[in-house]
Parts: sequence; C-alpha cells; structure tokens
Amino acid sequence: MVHVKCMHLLRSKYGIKELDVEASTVQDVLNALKKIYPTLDEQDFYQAVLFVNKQKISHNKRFNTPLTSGDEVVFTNFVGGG
Amino acid sequence: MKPRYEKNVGVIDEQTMKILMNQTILVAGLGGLGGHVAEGLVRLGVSKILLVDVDRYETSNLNRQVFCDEAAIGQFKVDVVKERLKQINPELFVQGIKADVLSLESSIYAGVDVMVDALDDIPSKLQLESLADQHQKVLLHGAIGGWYGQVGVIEPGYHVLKTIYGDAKEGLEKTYLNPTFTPGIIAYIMLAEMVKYWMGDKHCVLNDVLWIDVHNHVYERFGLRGDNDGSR
Repeated sequence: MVHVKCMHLLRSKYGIKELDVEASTVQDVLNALKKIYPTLDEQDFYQAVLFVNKQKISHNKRFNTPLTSGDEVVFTNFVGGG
Repeated sequence: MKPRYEKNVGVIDEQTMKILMNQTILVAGLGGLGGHVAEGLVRLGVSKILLVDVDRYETSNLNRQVFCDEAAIGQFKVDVVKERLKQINPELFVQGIKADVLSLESSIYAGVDVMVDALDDIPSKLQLESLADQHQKVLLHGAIGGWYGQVGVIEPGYHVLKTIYGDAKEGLEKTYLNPTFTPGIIAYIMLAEMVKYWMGDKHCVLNDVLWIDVHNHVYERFGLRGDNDGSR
C-alpha cells in the first residue's frame, strides 16, 4: 500500500487528508483517488506539487513515477507571499 | 529581568534572553509578515534590528499590515515601522534601509546574526536563502498565501527553500492573495520557532518546513530531515 497525503488546497476542496491505496505509479494513486472521490478534478492534482518520500518530483512525466509498497506520496501547494 | 520582559520569563529563561538581546536581525520585507515579525522581535527583547524594504504603504496594505494606517499611506514602510518600533522600545537600535535586500553591501549581511525571510515572491526568497548560505547566517523563513503558510528555521548548507520550491516562480498567493488573519498567525509562529532555536529546543522546525493550514486546522512538519527532530 502507498500512503497518500493531500495538503492545503486539495484538502480544502476535497476533504482528502490521508489514506492508503494500492498503486504502482503516481497516476495509479490519482486513479484510485478518483474512484473514491468521483468529483475530483485531475487538473487540480496535475497542478499541485508532488513529493514522493520527501523528494520533490517536478519533471513532466512525474505521474509515471514508480511506487512500491510503503512509499509516501504528498500532493500539496506552495505559498510564497509575505 | 526588565519589567517589560517579565511575562516572557515563564518560557524564555535568562540564558535565552541574553542570547536574543545580543542578536542583530535583518528583516527582509515589511509586508504582512515583516511588520508583525519586527514588532514581535522588539517585544521579545531583540535590541538590534535592520529593516529592509523599498516600498511605501498603500491602501491595499490596510487589511493586514500591522503598522499601516491612513496616516501611513504614501510613506516609506521602513520609516513608519522604525518610528513605531522605537515607540515600543526607545532603547532599540533600529536602522531602516530603503533598498533591494538582495543587493546590499556584503558588510551588512556579514554583520547580522539572522535574516528574516518576509519577502513576497518565491524567486526572491530563493535568492535570500542563497545569500544567507553564502554569509553563513541563519534564515527564519515564512511564507503565506490565502489560508496557508509555511515556517522554518534554516541553517547554512541545508537549502530547504531550494528543495521545496525548486524552480517554481509562484504559489497559491497569486490566486488567493493575503487575508487579514494569515500574516499575523504565521509571523508569530515564526517568532516561536526562532525562540526555540535560541533555546536549543528540540521541537524547533529546524532545517525543515512546517505546513500551516488555517482553513483545515493542519499544523504539520514536512519532515525533510526524516526524523522530525529539531535538535541540533
């Protein structure tokens, strides 16, 4: 199982906090979330910041990132205002 | 302990008080975060503060910037804040610098102990982290946007902002702006973490980032160091 956390805007919008899903890629995580939360807009996740095991994944194919059981996936957003 | 600080004694011991009274702190940016942080530093007992900002107060600052009032509109922020801080403590050494904080003379950075990141855009925050790193200074990071905020105490060599922002140019602040309540909340959490750093408290968010979500009541360390332990 992969541990998934949603922070900030995604938590506000969908009420998703953290959960465990079966997934072998980040896209699998998103597909699993979509099944649980049918109104979920995938674009919100594509625009979010992705961390896998505390490492920021920012390349174009980040949703293809392979996962193994025990990995942690965090979707969040930055703030940069002052 | 001077009477003006006696209510801090329950948390801040004499040794920490001595440390913070001898700090020279550069506050970069006097917007929502910077004004509150500067005020809090004076009330804590910090005796030397450099305020750096090029802007003048404008009407849209009235919703959240603690030293902005009708009379301040059009005045340089550094002038107004300097005057107000001196009203809190006339013995304070405070210098106002109307310049880009990223282009000061090296001797200014070299002469401070801590740089406060209260800047309002990600590229500037990243440059300030590089400057702090270059001059071997501690960076007190804060950032806000909408209901959300980030805080961390960053020592040279850890590049926390580079790690979390990467090459990002903007965050939620561009869409959700800055409501009245978020800057004060985040600024005072920044001060609490700074005090913990001076105390050597293991709960300090050190070389890590604290995510704060006022909307969903989330207050969580990211755990960049893995062990979530703020001890040095």
